[in-house]
Amino acid sequence: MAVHGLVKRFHAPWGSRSGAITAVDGVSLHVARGETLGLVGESGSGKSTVGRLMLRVLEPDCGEVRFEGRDLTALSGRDLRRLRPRMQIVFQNPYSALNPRMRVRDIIGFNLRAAHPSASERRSRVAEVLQLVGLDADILGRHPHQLSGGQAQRVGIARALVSGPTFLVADEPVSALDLSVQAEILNLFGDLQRRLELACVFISHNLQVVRHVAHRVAVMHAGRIVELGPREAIYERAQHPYTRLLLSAVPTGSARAGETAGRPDRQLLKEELRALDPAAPLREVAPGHLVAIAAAASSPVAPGAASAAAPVARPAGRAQESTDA
Amino acid sequence: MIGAATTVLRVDGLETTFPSARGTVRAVDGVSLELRARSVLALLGESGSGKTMTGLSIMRLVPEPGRIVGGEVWFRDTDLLGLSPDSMRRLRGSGIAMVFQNPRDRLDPALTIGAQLAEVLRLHGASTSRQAARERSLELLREVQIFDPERVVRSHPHELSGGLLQRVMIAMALSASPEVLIADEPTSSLDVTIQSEILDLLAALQRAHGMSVLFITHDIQVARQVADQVAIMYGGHIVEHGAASEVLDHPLHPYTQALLACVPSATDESGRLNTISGQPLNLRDLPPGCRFAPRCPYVHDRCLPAPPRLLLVQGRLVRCVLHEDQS
Repeated sequence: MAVHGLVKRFHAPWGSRSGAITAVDGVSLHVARGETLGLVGESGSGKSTVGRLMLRVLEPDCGEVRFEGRDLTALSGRDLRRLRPRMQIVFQNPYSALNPRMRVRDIIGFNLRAAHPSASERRSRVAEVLQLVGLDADILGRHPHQLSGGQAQRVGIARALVSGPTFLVADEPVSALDLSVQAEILNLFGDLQRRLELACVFISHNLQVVRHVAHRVAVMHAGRIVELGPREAIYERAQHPYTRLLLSAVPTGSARAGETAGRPDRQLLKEELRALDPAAPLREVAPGHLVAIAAAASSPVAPGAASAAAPVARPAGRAQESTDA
Repeated sequence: MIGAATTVLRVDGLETTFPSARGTVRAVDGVSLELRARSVLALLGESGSGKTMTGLSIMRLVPEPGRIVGGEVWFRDTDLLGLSPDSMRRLRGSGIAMVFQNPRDRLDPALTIGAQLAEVLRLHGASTSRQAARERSLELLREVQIFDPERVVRSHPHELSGGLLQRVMIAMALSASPEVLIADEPTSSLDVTIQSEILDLLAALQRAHGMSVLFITHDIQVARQVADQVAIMYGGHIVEHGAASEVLDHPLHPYTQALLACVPSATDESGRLNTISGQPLNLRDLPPGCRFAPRCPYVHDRCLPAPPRLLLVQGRLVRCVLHEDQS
């Protein structure tokens, strides 16, 4: 799965002053087989929109989505439907994502309808994925409200896996779950991803969770990818002020609130972020580690330097943005 | 109970139940807590553990058809459960105030922030004139570090971000200078950068006003960051209660140990996470003995017939038979 130059604009809500909102602004990413890419950002950063564009649940305004060598944006409805079983999604809230009137058996089996299986094929395939996600067969006759949060999310995963996908988008799959259940589901994700060699995009606002599951991490801010790299690079050698701001905000418990000792000055990071050119292109700073800071402004060692260099970089960035649009 | 430091709020054997078609749900089951003056007590638990109901019971705001059926809530020298509804209403806000998880649900979408702040001030009998209410509102908003209070008082809730709204809620809670603040998951619906700002703000206000805070949360890392004392809840019971550093670094109760082991670590990314075996509790069908017994790796015959007592072990309270010989 690879996307290139994705742009998605939404019309602003009725009555608001602005015209359109650019939710995703020139995003390029790729995920290889057997790899999990963590997509991190805060609310409104555009991370879920990217996930939906990859599955062509939403139509991009610009850019291409290549899946197994074909451009999804150019496919007809029928060709797209043929590909659908191989690309699936797991949602945040399992209760609202599962049809409350259907039994577990039918919820999971529903995603097999494209393959027109016989009743016995269907039964055996459902039983197979049920075992894969660690559920007992006695829940097949239950409705979603009779499941615990962890069971419901396992059903959501089973439904996504039943059609044998090679690409999976997991959109905040553990954010609605309690800590002990979250741990179970994260372990399950790791196991499945390795066993089935899935290409997986794991969308989350939780940096610690992403660190546990992702091989590579992309950080999104205001519709753009500001930093992309191997897990260790992002967590240990983050360069973009926004990434560092996110990392510094994770409660570690080492310092009491209000005591700033031992953690980066967030006010300083915010100023640095404001001073940066928001349209700076991604630049490779180490193999596989890309940062959206103009070359002159890049200064992981001396954070103050970025703000000094920014006024020079800004006009150039604006010009580039207008040509993109 | 623990120590002799001045206790502002003491909850003793609190019981809150909800009738349901399939039997009574014991949401809060004999909860005892001690909030010391000028300190932060984190009430930590997973969903359904009864932590929010404990907070609402203290405020006597339990939603229908729930009932407080037993126990005592002492605020200084007053038993809140014995107060008349009128006296309790006067005490809310001025004695004990509460901040909730989702500020957007708690504000009236049709009124400006200024109008809602003025209403709160009027209820507490402080500012009578419009001008005085406005001045005091702006002052309160500045105190919660809102830098353009003039714009905020003119705004409706939908025009403001979640972080700003939570600051407004905190300003409202502070308006009558309460001694105790109950904060129920005040940052759980916020982004992580905003969360850290609100936590810093609460810590600063707590120190500046000498408030005592009961901080209800499901997030261990947040509890670790804000709390002096911590109480762990499971299935309506307090299972462990003591100094935050001791409980969170050297947990004694098997549930606390299991819960802490589930935290995805920020430093160690490899390997599997620990999980807690068995199913989460069904509150309609609680085990007669220790609530955690069905999932506990150290379960013992003695755990099953009746819930273990809270024992004083190494300066903290633990509800587990494993520590009976040490107390």
